[in-house]
Amino acid sequence: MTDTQKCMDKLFIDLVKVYSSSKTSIIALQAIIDSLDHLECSYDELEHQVGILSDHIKNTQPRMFPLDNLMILFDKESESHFQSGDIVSTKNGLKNLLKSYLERLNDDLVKLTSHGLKCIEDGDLIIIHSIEENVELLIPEAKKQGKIFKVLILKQDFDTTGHVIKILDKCEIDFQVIPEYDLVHYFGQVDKLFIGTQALTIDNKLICDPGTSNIVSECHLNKIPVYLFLKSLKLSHYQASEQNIKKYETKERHGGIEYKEIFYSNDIVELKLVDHIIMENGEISMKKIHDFALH
Amino acid sequence: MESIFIPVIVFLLVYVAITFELVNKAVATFSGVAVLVLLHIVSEHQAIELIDFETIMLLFGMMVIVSILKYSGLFAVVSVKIAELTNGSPVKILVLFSTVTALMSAFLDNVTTVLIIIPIIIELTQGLGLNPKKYVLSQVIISNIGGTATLIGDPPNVIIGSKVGLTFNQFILTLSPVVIVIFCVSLFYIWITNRDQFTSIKGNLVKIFSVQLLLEKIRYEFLHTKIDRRIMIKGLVFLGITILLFVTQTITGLSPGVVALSMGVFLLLVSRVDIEHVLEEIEWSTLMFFAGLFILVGVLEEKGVIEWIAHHIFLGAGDNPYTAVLLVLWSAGIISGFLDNIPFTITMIPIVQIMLENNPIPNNILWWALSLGACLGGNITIIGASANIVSVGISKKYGVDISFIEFMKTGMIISFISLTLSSLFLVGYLWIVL
Repeated sequence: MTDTQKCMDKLFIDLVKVYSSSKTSIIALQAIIDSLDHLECSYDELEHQVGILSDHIKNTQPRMFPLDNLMILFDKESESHFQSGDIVSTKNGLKNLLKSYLERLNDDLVKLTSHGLKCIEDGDLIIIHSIEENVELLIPEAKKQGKIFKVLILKQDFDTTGHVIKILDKCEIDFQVIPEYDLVHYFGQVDKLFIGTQALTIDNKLICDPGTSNIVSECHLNKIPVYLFLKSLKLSHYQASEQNIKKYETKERHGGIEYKEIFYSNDIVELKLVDHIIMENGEISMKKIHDFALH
Repeated sequence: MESIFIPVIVFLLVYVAITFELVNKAVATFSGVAVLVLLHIVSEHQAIELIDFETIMLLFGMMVIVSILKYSGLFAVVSVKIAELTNGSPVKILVLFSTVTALMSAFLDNVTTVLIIIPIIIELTQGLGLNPKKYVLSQVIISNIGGTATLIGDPPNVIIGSKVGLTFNQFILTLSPVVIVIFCVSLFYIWITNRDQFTSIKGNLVKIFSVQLLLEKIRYEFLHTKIDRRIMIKGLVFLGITILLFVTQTITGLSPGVVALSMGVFLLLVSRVDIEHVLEEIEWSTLMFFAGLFILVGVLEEKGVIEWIAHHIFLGAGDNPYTAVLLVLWSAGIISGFLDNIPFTITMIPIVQIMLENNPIPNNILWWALSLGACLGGNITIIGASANIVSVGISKKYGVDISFIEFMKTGMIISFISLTLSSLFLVGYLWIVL
């Protein structure tokens, strides 16, 4: 793996810690548009440069959805733009294409939020864990519409939980923070678990933030309904094993003992543990979900 | 004899403890003071009288203003804006950050400057896949150079200004031209010796894209603290008034210490920032360190030790003004590279005063030599200035290890260039006025 690829992977990992994968994809699309503006190269070089960038984005560890799908679309749809012979019009064509993806992403988010609102009822105590569209858009929108509910935040890493708290506090949403392992004490009080995902693989596995699998399993065992908010652009054409989940190894020291600690960038959750799947087209049954895939 | 012997031994032990960081600097100096008071070498009342409160007031006042500005989020906003302006260009990163570092360290203290600049420059360069070491080194070195230009920029200048009575205008008008030249030559040296680190990314779409992502990450990281524009504006207004009062010192008759302390207190009053928060940000140990050193050096002065050093070492070089100026400049430069420049400056002030009594050199040129030597010599080694030690510490937290030798390789050459340019300036100045 090249140093440039490593740098890009690290940047994406840092961004998805504090933004949903959709917001990260929006940031990345805007970054490509801005980069095309700043790029200084000959017309002959442009296609090669765009191709290299697309390859880098599609090979990140872990893979970034919905961006990955959008780059596959971009590879196909941008071909015609490389025949104009003029660098300015080619760049403009590429930028317009990317802008159309931005619009599509934003439209999907609006639709997903609107369907998601039906899942929140007055008096609900909702469990959330990581940053996905449900936290960034749905819960703030529900509050704006006057719904009365509370949120139980399961603490994850410092950056992520800090950002979740910031969003909820800004919207004046009633919340409480507990460690993930203390959830057992709240069964009987909580009504539902909201999760998002970075991708749904073709073997029906959800690629989520670390710790999600435990929470979903615990809720499933205790019959707490699990709601998944998923955009069709997050339907991956890869298996979970090909999702490039990053493995980290660090050397730690405690009490004079040195040991190796291993952890992963993402968790893998079985789709069958989810009770409700909400997409931009409304609630979808598990059987029909892959009908919405791009490929 | 006995009364000279004990303060000298105590002073040397404190100096060793400070240089090798055996204990906290403030603890070391006050332990020395405690020994002298317990042994009746100096009374507690005499000890208090030896503290130069003008310097302490100036440092405290500026620390209050900086703390409130930091609380307002001003420095985070400035850092992000510069990062955006660079757009990932390595040369722009070097030049823009160095310019801001030089300006900030001229008007704020160097440690605050590097605490603000180093984390963002490491994020920026690491995110671009560049080696952050040269960029970190350049900012530390530039902060010491920038701080040399003003009365409030670097502790040696604060001490010289307060003890000798030199004004803010005298410092900035005399030293800024040579500091600007040293700044430009040093930047050029850093660029020419590391050209491979500063190649353009304009033709590389992947790198430009990474820069855009990186800027987004930096915006989040550095701006996620609350930005209080109301306090920011008040802070900037008071900083402006403070500098204005420094500049008009000869008209108002207000000393820099009085100005800084009053403006700091008024800003506290107007901004309504929690005083407990501001007091937590004040570097009490630095203030204690200064106070303790003033006492230790004051005792040496009273016992005639300083006069002995002045006569036997510095006046032994003869009464040629050129030799005296260059001797003070280069000895201050070299010694400050290996010892803390704060105690060195405090020790040197009475020595220079004795030198001036014996050989009056006009236009404060000997003081400028001390200032340039003490400030610029701090770049020779990691232990030469507080900002160096702090920067290396922050860099380590970000996984960037800068060794003593690595620092010295760049620092020593730039110090040599700086001191050579300062020599030319001082000799030229002396030639004009004599």
